Amino acid sequence: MASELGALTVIFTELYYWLTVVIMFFIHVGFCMYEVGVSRHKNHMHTLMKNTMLIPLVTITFFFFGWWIYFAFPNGPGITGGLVSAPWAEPWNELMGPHMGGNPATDTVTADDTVLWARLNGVFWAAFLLFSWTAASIVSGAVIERVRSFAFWLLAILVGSVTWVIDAAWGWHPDGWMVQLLGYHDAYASGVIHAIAGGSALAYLYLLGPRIGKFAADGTPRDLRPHNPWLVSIGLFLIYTGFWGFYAACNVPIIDVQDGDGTFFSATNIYLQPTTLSAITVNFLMSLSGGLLTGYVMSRGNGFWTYSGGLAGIIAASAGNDLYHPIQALVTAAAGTWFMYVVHNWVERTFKIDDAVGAVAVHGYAGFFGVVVAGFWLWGYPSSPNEAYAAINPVGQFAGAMIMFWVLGFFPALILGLIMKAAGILRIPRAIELAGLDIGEVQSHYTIRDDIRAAEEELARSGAT
Amino acid sequence: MATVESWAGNIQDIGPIYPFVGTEVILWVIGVALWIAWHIWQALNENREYREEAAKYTKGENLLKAIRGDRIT
Repeated sequence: MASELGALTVIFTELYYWLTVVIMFFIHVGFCMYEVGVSRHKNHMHTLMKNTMLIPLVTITFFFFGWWIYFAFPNGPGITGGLVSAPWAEPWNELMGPHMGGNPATDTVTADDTVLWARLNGVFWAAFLLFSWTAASIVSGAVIERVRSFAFWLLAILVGSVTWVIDAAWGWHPDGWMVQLLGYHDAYASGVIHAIAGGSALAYLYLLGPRIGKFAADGTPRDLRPHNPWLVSIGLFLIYTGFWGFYAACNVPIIDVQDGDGTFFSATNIYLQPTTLSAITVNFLMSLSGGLLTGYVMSRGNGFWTYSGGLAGIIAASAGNDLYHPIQALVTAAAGTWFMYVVHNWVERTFKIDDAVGAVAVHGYAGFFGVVVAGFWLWGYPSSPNEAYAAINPVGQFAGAMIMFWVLGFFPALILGLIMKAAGILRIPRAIELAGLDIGEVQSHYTIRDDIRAAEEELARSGAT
Repeated sequence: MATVESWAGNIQDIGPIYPFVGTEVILWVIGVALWIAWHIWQALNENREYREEAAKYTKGENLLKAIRGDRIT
């Protein structure tokens, strides 16, 4: 930090990621509003607490082991090499605490490590943590009004601090084995965040079964409409808002990308390939528009699915939104939204899957679609600045989508859910589900309200004016 | 125990600034223990509440009353 230009670059990068974290917080605000808006009155507090408490649980576990997994697992381990040494990400390392970047106190890190990571480790960690919250929160909405909090929170930790981090190490790291061998490209996380979360949600939904009353006796799905569509609307708008921060956080803001002589400073994507904020900003808006337009048409103007279509559109185009032409982003988003809507309705009718907020559809199916389609649009593009790595191709992208949705999404969640189900602690007891999940201390809120009402009625009967 | 005793020296020599440098592994063990303990407390509490609540609904018309939104005494 002795040179003013060097210090400005580091502190700008620090501030850049800090801002993305603040903006991404809106995603979680939006998810909470969305879920509560969709849930019924008798389940509000349970729904809200289930989502809210994943924040501290994923945060501390991401500190305890999640951050280290990202840096240690790019090789599998066991696919292209062993565990990678990443002392700055170990939870007991001095660089995980406040550090001025000077002489290290231990021999676990070098002076170069401290200079590089002292001011960036915390904000990088926080940006990734907000991705973790998002992944876990996607699952939260799907399973509302029937899952036990304990069973959900274990899944939130599994997805938020383990499985999505492994997939990020594999396919969202400049040296991940999927990038090296498959040519996997997923710049804004169609698969890395969304497909894996959708796959995890589907596993729990399969084991949980539908909410009581969701399906008629003949198997026809009933529309359990949001109790508050305005809360849902604002929630989804806030998720869109947070998504801007999400996109920015997927970039490195300034780095020398020149190979060989000379220097050329640019923003890059997560794979350290040059990109611009301009490019991804236009494509974000075009893919949002493609999703909204298609969602409106497909649902005949249903607000819930129109907004969800906007989100699905962004997710479907995200894998290649660093490289697409804006109209390619628009078309990809429209096609992905159509795909997720059709598949959602087919899965709901055929397998009686009750996805309360359409999370598997919007994140899982649209994310899967986005990864696969990027393999065709971007066929032949380098997946990395390292020319020895495989180029982007349809087979690699399809394999990558399968790994995200099924291998790291569906199956780990299925195993955890089976354990919870065998222990009898996956689903809320039937009587409580019928009466409402807001019980115990939470229910006392309604008791107090009853007391107030009784007092008011007493006053009315006594002739108070 | 103060890790930094003065900001007047050469700042470039300063590394970690939190207290008790060297106790990080102990702090990690404490953190993990607190995390697991929280889950145990929560699971026990959740299971007990569900047992009690479900038992309440088996009595008389209590479940029907609850579905209708009436208060159960």
